[in-house]
Amino acid sequence: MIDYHTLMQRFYDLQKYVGWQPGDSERIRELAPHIREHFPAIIDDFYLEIERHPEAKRVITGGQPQIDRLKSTLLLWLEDLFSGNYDADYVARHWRIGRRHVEISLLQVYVFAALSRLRQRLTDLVCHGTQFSWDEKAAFLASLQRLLDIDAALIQSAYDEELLSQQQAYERLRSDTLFRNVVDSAGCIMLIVRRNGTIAFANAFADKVAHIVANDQIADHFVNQFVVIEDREKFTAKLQRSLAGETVQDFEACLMNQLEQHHPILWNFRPLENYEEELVVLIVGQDISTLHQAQSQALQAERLAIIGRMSAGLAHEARNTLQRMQACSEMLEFEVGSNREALDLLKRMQTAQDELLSMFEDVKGYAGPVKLDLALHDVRDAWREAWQLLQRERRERDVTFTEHVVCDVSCYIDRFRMTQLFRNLFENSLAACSDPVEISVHCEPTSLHGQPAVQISVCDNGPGLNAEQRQRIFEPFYTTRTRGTGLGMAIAQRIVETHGGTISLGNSRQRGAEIIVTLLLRTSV
Amino acid sequence: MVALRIAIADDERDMRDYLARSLPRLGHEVVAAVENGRQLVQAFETQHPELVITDVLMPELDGIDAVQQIWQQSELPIVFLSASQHNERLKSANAEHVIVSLQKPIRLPVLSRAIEIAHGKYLLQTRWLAAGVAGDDARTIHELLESAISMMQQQETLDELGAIQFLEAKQISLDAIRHWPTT
Repeated sequence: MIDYHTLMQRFYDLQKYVGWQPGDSERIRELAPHIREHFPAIIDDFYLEIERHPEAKRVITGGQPQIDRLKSTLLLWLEDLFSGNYDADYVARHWRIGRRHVEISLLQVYVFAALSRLRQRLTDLVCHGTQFSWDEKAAFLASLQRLLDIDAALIQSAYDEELLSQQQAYERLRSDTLFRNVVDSAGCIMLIVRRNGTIAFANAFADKVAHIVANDQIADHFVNQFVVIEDREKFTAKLQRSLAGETVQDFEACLMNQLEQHHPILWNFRPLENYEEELVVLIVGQDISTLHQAQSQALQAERLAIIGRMSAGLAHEARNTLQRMQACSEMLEFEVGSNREALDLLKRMQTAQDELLSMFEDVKGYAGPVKLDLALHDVRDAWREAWQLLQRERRERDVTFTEHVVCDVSCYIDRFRMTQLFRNLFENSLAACSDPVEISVHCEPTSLHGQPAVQISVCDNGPGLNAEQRQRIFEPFYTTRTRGTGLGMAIAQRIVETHGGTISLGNSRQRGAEIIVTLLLRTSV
Repeated sequence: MVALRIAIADDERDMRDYLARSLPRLGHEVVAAVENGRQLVQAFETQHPELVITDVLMPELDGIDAVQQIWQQSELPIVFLSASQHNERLKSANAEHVIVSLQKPIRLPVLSRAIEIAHGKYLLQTRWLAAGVAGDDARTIHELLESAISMMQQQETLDELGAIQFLEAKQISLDAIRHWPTT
């Protein structure tokens, strides 16, 4: 609503514009007694004319009683107009009349048509007034025109203001819709959280990432529901700071959805006052999982490339050096003859050399380029060969090996690599389990990328994997054994993935560890 | 077990000593132990070895270049010892000459076997080449030899050396190999 000061400013401005002088008020006051007796006739004429215009009549919904009321209002208006007293109250009253016409949605053109009709009647009265001289008539008319012009301008300004506020409302609506669309299609989490921990607003992304939806009911504090336990304290502290009016920027904390998947998020908090008449916090969270993933993949690839180059050079040199060690120890063997103790020491030395060589091969196998020699094989042959190759490791152990194959297991594989894969898996099981060891392989049909595949699970009866092991098992150089490079599972993963398959951890049928390898059936990679 | 006159070349003293001491234990005679390719070519010319065991990477003249020079004078079986697994130059030379390639580090039993394989192949190849009709070049004979060995390995379930010895013992002719039924 227009304020008093602005309205008066406009009124004085309008007066100045139409050339209103203090003398005009005098003259209107002088004219008033001469035309007052004609007011009822003017009013009757006014409402008779309205009857003829449906669009104007439309706003009169109250029948004769309303017309009677309106007639007395019009009389008051006319009396006021000719009072000669044009103070702030006058301005306010006349502006309100304009406003009232806006409110009943009377088209502006009818207001001006009506004013024009009143202007004509009043002009006629002055022109036909026999008691006035020509000069007086001219002066009265001039003042009357100015007075009516100013009144028309006041009504106009009421309409202007309405138009403006309508535009503003439309703009607001438009920007609200726009804002809502932006918020809902934004690729980040946007939440409005109340002091009590309920969520006043959650955008679509929040629902998608962590199934967070707006909820007025307090089952549990938002933080306890969605923030991982390790980050809760930090998150709550920052939220408190923001509820105390502070803006908190760019800190990381993990969200957890109902499937207990963790999402690293970069958070920004901003206090919002007067939302639902209380202080709330606007929370914007950017999911940085893919960033994290990309970073670690890039790091991994870089590390791998360096290891690849290094291991190729190192493996070559190591082979030369190991050859010399081998040569010397064999020559020494000639020298020591039948000294059993010395021969035993030499044997141990050679075992150590073999281990060193296999370590170099492991690193090269993991980091070097993998070139597959694919042919159609029964995968059983690969694991049976792997099991055979582990004869030495199985010696003097109490081991049971079982197969449960209920489907076709013919795949295009690199037989050598696949054997290496199973060998690595069996070696891990043998190392992890205490006697009596039970290792089993289960095959069942499945699908991979929409194509028929076979799921091969290798299970053991060892202690299984703890949380850390589960998370890090495929990490290169991660090992829980005192010996070995920690590359076995990383190589296994590399082999499976170059075959277009997947390798993952299962929840063992028994109590031990379960590794699940999925390979495409009978299709070439 | 055959006894051969062998020349060896390796730039590592340890390897030369090792080969010089261990090969006689297998019944062979080491007629030269040199440290580069140039010396190997010279040793071949003066000592006329029946087989050469050589490193690949050596100063002055490497093993492959040295052997190429030797082959220009006379056909000879070669055992290469190398730290690398694959060498394209070796692969192409292998199309017509008898080469056995071993990846270092090696142990004596492996080397012993390699010598027997190389020598056995050489004998077969020489016999077949002499018996071959006009137009049978070394490359054709070499290809026949390799396929005959792998056929024997499959049909008689033998390893490579076993297959070579089988071919030699039965005095299987080139014609027989040409018309061997492939199952």
